Amino acid sequence: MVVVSTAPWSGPVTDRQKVALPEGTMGLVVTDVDGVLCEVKYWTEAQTQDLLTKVSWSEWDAGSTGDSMSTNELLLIERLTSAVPLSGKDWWADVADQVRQSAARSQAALACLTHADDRLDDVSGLLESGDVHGAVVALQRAFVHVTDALTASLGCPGTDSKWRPRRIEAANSDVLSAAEYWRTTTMQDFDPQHPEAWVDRTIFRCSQIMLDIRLGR
Amino acid sequence: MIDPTIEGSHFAEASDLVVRPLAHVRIRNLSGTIVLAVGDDVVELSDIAESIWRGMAPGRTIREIVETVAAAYDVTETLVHDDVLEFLADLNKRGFVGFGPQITGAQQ
Repeated sequence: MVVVSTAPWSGPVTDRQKVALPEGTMGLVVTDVDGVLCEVKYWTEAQTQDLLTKVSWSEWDAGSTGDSMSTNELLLIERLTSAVPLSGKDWWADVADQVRQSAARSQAALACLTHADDRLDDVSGLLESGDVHGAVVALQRAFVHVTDALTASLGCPGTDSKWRPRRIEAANSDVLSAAEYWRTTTMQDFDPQHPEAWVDRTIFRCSQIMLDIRLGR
Repeated sequence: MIDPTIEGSHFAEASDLVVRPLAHVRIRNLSGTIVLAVGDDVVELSDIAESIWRGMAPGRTIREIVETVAAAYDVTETLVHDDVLEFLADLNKRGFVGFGPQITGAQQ
């Protein structure tokens, strides 16, 4: 649960976590609700405005890729567009719309692509050294990052693996269907006798998918 | 992976090789423009270059890419053959693509 207020939360907190914003901390309360452990995060309106500035197109044009954002900031941006407002519906609708119109998608997609690049570099090096099994493992990670980049670019950001199938379904992409994602991630086409064939196909697919991960306006 | 460099004198033989993007190539779609990079070497793809790049698929030979591009632009294969080969040979020299034979079990 997220609470956004005009003034900082002054009540007791379980933890005060750092964020990379002028108001540099965010209150966190962990509480038990009917036997379920819940987190409440307290933000201020000023912090959300600063966050919107960070994901603005002017920042993107100036070369900001969003890599200065803390995990809490990334999570807030990720969840703002799909949140269910319990109060302040008009305020939320306006902020969520600003996020949708912002460079947040491109920033999130680019971050995932950068991770994919790193893993694909690993694949390249491992293949050069003849380590096909190592390349298979690195390529699994690369495919995950490419998938996350695609869904982020289509407005379904996130990197949590348990929600990845749902993000793929929600993104409803022509580039990567939910069926193909599932087939690849569960390695249904993998032949232990010919691992290099899976590597070849999956490098191809990563390359093809990346062509359609649109960054920018 | 197999990655011989194809020089001009071997173009005819090259047509039957499979061409594949190399894993370390950075690929970005910047507002609709495809940009590839290997280290500091950056290539911005023209429409036809993008068509060639997109024409690559597991197990697809250079000859088949020529057929794909020719069909996409509704021209004869002869007209695009040399351009496709020269473009791919250049990318090969610069470390963007590799040439090689079919990998067993690679084609779906």
